[in-house]
Amino acid sequence: MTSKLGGYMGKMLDVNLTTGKVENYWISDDDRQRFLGGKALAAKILWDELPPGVCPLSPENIMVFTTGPLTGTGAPCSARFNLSTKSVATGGIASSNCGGDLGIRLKQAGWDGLIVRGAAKQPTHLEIDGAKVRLRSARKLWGKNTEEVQAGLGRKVATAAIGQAGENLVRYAAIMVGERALGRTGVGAVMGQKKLKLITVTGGDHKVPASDETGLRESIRKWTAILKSHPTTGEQLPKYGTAGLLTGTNATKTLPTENFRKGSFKSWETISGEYMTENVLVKNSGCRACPIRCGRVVEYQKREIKGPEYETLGMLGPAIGNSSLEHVIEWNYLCDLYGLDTISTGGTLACAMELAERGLLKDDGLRFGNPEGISEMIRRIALREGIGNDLAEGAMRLAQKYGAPELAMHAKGLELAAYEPRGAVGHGLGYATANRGGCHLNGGYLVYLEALGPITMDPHTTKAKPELVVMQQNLMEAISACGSCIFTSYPVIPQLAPRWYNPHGLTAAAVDKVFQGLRFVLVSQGRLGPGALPIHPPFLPHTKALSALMGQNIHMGRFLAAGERGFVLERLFNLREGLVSADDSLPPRLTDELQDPSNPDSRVRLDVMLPRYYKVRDWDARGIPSERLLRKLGMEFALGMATRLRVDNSPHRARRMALRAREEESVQEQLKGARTAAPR
Amino acid sequence: MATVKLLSHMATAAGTAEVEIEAATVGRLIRILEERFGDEFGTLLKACKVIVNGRSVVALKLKRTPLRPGDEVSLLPPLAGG
Ligand code: SF4
Repeated sequence: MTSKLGGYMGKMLDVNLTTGKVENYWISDDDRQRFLGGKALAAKILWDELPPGVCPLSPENIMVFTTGPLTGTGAPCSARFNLSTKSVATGGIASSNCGGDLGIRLKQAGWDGLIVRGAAKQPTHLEIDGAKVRLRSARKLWGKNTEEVQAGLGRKVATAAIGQAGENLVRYAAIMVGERALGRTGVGAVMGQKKLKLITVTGGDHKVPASDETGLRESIRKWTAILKSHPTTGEQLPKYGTAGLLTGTNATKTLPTENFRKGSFKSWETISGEYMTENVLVKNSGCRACPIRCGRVVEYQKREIKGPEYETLGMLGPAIGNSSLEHVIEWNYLCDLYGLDTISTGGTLACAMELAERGLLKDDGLRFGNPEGISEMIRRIALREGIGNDLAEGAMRLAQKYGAPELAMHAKGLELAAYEPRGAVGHGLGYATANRGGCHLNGGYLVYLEALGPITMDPHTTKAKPELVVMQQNLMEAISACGSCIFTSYPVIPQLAPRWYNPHGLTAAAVDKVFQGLRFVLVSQGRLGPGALPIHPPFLPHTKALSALMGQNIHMGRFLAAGERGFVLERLFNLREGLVSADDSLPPRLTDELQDPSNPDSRVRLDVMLPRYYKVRDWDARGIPSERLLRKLGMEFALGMATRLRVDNSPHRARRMALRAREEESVQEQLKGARTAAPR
Repeated sequence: MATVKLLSHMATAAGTAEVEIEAATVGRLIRILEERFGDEFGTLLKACKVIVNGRSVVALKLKRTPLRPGDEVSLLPPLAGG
């Protein structure tokens, strides 16, 4: 069973590390049309393949690597691929997206994706060479960093490797794909539990089949022109990288400073994108097939290495009170070597610093603004040494252990990204409702509409924010599912010429009102179903490219519905695994304390926005998707589970909480094993 | 006196990153800046967001937003996340 649709190679690779069995995994064209690919399709595979209640750090957990139909077609920014699994950080769904070569190489080798099951007894290297698949010993690689593991394999080999952090099951261990990272949600720990040190993909010369090659090339040409002419994707990102956002987040008080106590940092200039461009930038870099090239190559100790992007600057800069770009570059590099997520590393360090400031955690070195000892602490986290072992658990568990859970800036157990949501309250709603936890992208990235984009609205009003968050979450899920970089969503918000739009004049006020008024339009559109919006708007070129590629009319309505399906299925996965509506929350600092005492709206009013958000999504008061919604989206397969969740009352809920507690015990067992195995 | 922060390429255009200006409203402050730094600066200024103490004037009173001594006004051009 291959595929009649363009864009797909027709099969996935299914490898069991326990048994050594290698098989094909088949997906139906029906599922491909409903979920497209990427994280949405991965959610469907997890839903089908992973029994509820599995411990994330056990051989029973599976890793699902998926590409999108556009991956490898040459469409702009389409090198992206996704990894989903059960999260060691949240106990719900984990998903991580990456622009390294692995996705493209998988398709060239003839595979739409890869499923990894079981766990090897010894350190293992999974070698995929076209149709040939081998499991080799990686004993010599165990204990090595990601640079050493990936060195010397050649440009034609795509790699995915864990460092010492993954081996030691650090809850925010990353997987490095060349220099790019599958960073968030601790996917490196899942790979480490499976004793899978390295994946390599090479071989094959398969071309991604297109239904209408000429139509696809034409839409790619137009799409590239759109990206090049938009101020964010055509100028800001190429010129300053994502680091260029820092000046804006600081000015709009959305730059998390000293563990999110403040939204701006007095010494921001020396870690800004402008400063980086003027002082250390060597050249731009980017994922393959990308006309934007937001990556940075910087000079560090006479070497050219990967420069930090915005999130890293924010979380290893102001979030811990650091104003030295050189230190951020060094720590970013160290995190990559050990295989640690920089956002969670920064969030956990910030939490530890505040615990130390309050005298709850005794460690002399940990102080806001003190760079001494941070490099060493990163090493201790990766090796789970001393207090590093506590920090390796992430901010939520660290703060719980030291008696001040309110000091962990997280959602669902995942550290928040580098936006202070009291300066953009819709963004806060996004954090609270993102399925993978405190993520800016999965949360809909509303800060772009509220503070950073070319046209913006009142960042503190709660009006229309639930509706806009829902729209953005569905849109970004769809963009990710098709294999495209999330940054291709920027042109949805147009740059208007100054004669039409004055950002401090009456037109700005009018645009603000239009945004707020959109809530009526968005709600009625949401109710209509996938058949609505049979259009291909120029600001969303993905739909035309997909239609030419797949040989189907993937208009805007169908595109958004695919995104919504992915989002809703991830939600159901979380509910099934024991997460409840109370997990759609933020730390009290962000919901109860005013960022600016003179502005009564400078806190995230989840109490106002969340009930409305559930309504707009057509979820019930406990956040469970309605039967009507599941039927509208053609997700009848999930009706049984949704019904069971709906009739669940408190004793059942208690049972689900017990399930999570049991899972946690099992994780702790694994961690004990990891600690004894950690190199000293 | 309000402190005006000229961000990103607005600083290059003005030749300084910060100025102190006495003005009763944002509108008045904009006129003073246009007069002081010239037409080219004025054109760039038209595309800038104006942020008073971290709040966009869109959420305040636009050009009629009053300024008090000690206020911090940021001029944020589109290419700096504006
Ligand atoms: S915009 Fe940046 S992250 Fe996205 S594909 Fe291009 S280089 Fe990769």
